Amino acid sequence: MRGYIALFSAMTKQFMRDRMALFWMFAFPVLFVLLFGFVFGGENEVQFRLGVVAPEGDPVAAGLLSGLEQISVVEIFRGSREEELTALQNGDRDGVLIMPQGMVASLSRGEQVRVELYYDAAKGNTAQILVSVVDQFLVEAERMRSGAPRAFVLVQKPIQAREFRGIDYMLPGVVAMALMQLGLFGVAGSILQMRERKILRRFWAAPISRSTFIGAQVTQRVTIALLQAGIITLVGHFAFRVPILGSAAVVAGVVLLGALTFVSLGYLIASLARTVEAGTALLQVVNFPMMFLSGIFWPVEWMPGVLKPVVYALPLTYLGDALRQTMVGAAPLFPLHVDLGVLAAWLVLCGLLSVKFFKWE
Amino acid sequence: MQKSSNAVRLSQIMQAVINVEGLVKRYGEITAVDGISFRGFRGEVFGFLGPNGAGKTTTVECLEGLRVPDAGKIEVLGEIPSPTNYALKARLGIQLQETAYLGLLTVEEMLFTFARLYPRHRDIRALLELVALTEKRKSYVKTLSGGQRQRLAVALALVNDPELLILDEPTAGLDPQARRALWDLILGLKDEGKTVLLTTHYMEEAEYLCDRVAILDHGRIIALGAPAELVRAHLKETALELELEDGIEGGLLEGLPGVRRVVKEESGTVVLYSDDTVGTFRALAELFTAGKLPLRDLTWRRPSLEDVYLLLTGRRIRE
Repeated sequence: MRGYIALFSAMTKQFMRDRMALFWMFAFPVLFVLLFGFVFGGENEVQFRLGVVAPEGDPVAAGLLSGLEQISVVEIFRGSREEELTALQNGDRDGVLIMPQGMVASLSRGEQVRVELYYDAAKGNTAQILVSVVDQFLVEAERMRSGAPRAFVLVQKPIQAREFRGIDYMLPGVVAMALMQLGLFGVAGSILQMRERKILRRFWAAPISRSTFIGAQVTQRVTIALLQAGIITLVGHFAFRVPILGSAAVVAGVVLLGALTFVSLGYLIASLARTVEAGTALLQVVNFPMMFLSGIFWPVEWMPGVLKPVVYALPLTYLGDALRQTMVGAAPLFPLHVDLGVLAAWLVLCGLLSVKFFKWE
Repeated sequence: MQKSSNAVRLSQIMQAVINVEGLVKRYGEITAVDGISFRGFRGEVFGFLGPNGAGKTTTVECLEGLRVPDAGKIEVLGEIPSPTNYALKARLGIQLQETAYLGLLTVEEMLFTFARLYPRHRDIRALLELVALTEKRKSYVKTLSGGQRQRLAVALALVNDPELLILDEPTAGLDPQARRALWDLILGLKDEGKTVLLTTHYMEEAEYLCDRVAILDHGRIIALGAPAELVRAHLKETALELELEDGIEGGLLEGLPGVRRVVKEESGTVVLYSDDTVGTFRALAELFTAGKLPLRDLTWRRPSLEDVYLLLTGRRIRE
């Protein structure tokens, strides 16, 4: 036990003082979160900037304006015709609505009132939505004026409890990526180096068993993994309001299983590679497909069908899915027990192969 | 190999802490150690001398339990070394050839880490003092110089206060000053009563440090004994080096009393190997007085371990 503690603390010091390791294990994933957060952290709700030019003191114009202000997706700007059209030209407005003079008189005479909507046709979808929103608004205004009851009422029933943003999807993915890289670079990389520089051999000359050494290394790295997951999650939560829905214990359990799986994969790679160079190449061969094919940054559905077998073979696909459903309550790709089962299978497989092939020198 | 009567007598009164019989270790086709037998006694500094690839490291790693021999018997401190013989490992102090350590630990932390891997350990402060690393105790291991690193390696070998120290090339790559400091350290440990087994490919190191030396070549011990004894046993002649002004008649020196061999080196120096130093010297003096020997300088030296190695293998030991 004394030996275990000595090794655990020595490995912790070595890790925590290694700036490269700290960068890759902590700063790199946090940078990912920050980058994704700024790019994909915005609300999905569309907000239209609508310039309104309305004659002063016209009760109809005032009524329409107060109605427009009720629409949550529309932000109203008031100004003169020239000002608003210039703003539209400059891209500061999505549309400009111009109400004519003397609407009260026109209506009392039973004439049509022509309200003009200028918009930027180049904006495609945005423009079309804005046009239909404004049109819908005017139809509704007319119905209220005539007092006709509504025959059909649309009751909105969204199935997702809340809006899902890009960053909400990606945060668990970054945690999964960090756990994978800890296993690959933090375990395999470090063992390969310690083996090549004969550091392992020196420990082996001391009266400690291999299982004590491996036990210290695995628990030390898993501790780092929990710390990593915690830091990444907190940054996402506090910087970008990513809601953490799952219980901390369940998430920690998934993180623990994921960390162990990738630590054992790290041992397997260290077992198969004889030199640091060969090991580094092998690590990249494993790292890249996992990063981009396991759906940690974008949904698996986006990937072409030919890649699906690869996608469903990668352990990171299951760790990402398990973390997404437990952390942010995303729609699952697989039931949780399938995710955990596949991870456990990888863990056992890599563990057994490592025991068979691992070389201390 | 002829065992001197002296060694036999010593073996009777001294306790053998290492007993190796017929040790063989192969790596695939290559036989690294080819039937080595020797004994190491309590309190002595025993050296393995030989070029790289002679089997020194493989032999000591078998003694340390880091390698499993293919044949032969090994007993160290009454135990059979094996990868899992932790009781034995706890009593050994081991310095491996070219080891690195966790570079981002300080010297002191490194020593404490290893101290906790053993059931008992020396006082770390005293140990730092002993290897002259007190000033460096807060420095990261990776910042140490070659000499400091070797001293740390020796300190780590001593951390568990071992009964037997096994040092593999402890002074390899050190400058003469650092080497001398490490020699003094090892002799100091001998005075403490430690048994030391070391490997080296430096002749002068073996001569200076070792009570007994085993010369290794191609995985076999080709000579074993005290350095001076080995020289005496294999080279009874004295070497007389002559620096001459001019050439001399052929055959003049070969006929002198006691001269066994005459070697004319390319530099012009003539070396006489003589088993009758006084007789040869007298004859040389007569030739010189008679004006037949244009002698500029004359040196007399005793043959060294280097000459023994040369005689036995036909090669010099330098890598």
